[in-house]
Amino acid sequence: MSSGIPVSSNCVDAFTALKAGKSHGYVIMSIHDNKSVELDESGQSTDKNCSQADNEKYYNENVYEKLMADEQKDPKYVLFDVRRQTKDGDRTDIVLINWCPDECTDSKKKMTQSSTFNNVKLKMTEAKKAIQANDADELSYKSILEEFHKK
Amino acid sequence: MSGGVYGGDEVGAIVFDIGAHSVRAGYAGEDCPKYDIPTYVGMLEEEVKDELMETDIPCEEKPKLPDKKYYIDTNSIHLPKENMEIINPVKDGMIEDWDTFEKLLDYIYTKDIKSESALHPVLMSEASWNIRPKREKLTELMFEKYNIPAFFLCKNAVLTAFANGRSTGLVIDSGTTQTSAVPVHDGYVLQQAIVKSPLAGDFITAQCRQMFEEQNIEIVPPYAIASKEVSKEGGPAIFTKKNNLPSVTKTFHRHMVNETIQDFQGSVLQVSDGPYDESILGNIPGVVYEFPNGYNNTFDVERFRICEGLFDPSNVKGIEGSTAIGVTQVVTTSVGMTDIDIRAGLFGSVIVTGGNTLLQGFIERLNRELLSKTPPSMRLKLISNNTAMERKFNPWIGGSILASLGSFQQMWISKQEYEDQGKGCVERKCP
Repeated sequence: MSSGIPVSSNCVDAFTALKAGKSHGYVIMSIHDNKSVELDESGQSTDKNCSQADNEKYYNENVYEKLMADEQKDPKYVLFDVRRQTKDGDRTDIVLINWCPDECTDSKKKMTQSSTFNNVKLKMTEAKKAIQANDADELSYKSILEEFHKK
Repeated sequence: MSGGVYGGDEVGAIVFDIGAHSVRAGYAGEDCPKYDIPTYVGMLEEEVKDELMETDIPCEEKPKLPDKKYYIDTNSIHLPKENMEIINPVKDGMIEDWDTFEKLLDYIYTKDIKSESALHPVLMSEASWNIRPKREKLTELMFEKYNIPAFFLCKNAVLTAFANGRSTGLVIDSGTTQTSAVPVHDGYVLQQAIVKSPLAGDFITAQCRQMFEEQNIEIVPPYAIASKEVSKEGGPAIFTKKNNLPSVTKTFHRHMVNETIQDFQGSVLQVSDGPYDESILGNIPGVVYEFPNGYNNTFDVERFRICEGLFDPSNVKGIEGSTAIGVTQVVTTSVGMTDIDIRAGLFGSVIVTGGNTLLQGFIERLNRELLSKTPPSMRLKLISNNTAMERKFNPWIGGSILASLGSFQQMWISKQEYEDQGKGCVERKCP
């Protein structure tokens, strides 16, 4: 079941750029006018050999704090390169986050956001994890890392 | 895409949410359903008039079907009429009695919406466990009889999950006839993991009825009361019955008594925080309730005891043992039947909906019991709308938003598609 709201090409381009990027980066997207998913902003770090701590700091500054500061608590789709340690060394994986805060009081936005998530996922199947986050805790860097430990 | 613009604000789609207790209807794009009418219908079988048969139908051997008259909506079903039976076309969340269901739809189109059905696409909610023959029959009915331009059938659990900002979650719906847990994953219902139990609103009503019988409290519904006077607490009611009431049917009287009890349920009953313990609950002050006939009394521990069966059915009498499982177990059993990978996502989004969950203390008890059942590695979160309105109308509101989206038009089954592919297309277009 889906809303039928399409994902615009600028989002797919941003995802491709993120995949190709040498360092880590982020993409924030949202539904505009109930018509399409559009790119809001994206960025790449210049730090090529960053540690996980740098990665966490980058996430907090560019994604977490920005979304928390939004008083409207508008829903967003987020792509992020997560740097994590595995037994085979460091890895970078892209996660796709469906940020649909429970504090958002606009039921229309919630409805369109959640019924469009599948469309976004289908355009970005190479993302390693699709994460549903509805509160600050679930959006935290720690929770996102934990997703990789779940079976 | 199937051509033509259906959704959007140009041509208002109509959204129906069919429940066991009421049918919600209204235009897509509105915030809440404009019409909320009881699913219960009054039905009167009238004697067939012989002269009419002779003139209208040539002397073929036609079976003499009794002429049925239907009474719909709150006011008409509350008016006592001789021989009027109260029936309900919905059973187990699905449409069972199609003739009566059509009468309900006819009524909504002509009396409420007051517009040609052929002008408006229809989005309808359905029970998540609805079966293929019924889905196809409904599709056929909407296109053939009501001649609608487009149709969509949507599982109510999915609409509820979406309306609460989730494409994955467990929808626990405790309504009139049953409590169900439906796991939704990526916007699709996991059919094999649906769990249902008859412990819901009607069960509580039956428990109350039993208690009143034991305490010799006669429930007199408002229709039978002419006047009442103030009576002493616990003392006999001082009231006069209405004269010249028609002789009503058992189903009518029962329905009216049930409604009276349901008001009692909403005002007096409370679910205890933890397992029922009379020594603790006995200290909580009672609640005074006055019945329509003026009888009033204080209800103490019994107001907790009645609800206890919802969560702990071990002491409940008079229901089939196997299917009657408590609310918490409905949730855990359902999650237990899903793939281990998605369980964390379900525990993290338990969406509570349905009229019976408005019982005081229901959510607190469920939360407490589920916490002890959630694996330590997972996080439990219960989501419920704060107002009764939202909790009752969740699926309708979700459907209203979807059907008003311009982009949703590619989802509808158009009349053309129906004509080309037949009623079977509902399985493909509305999974």
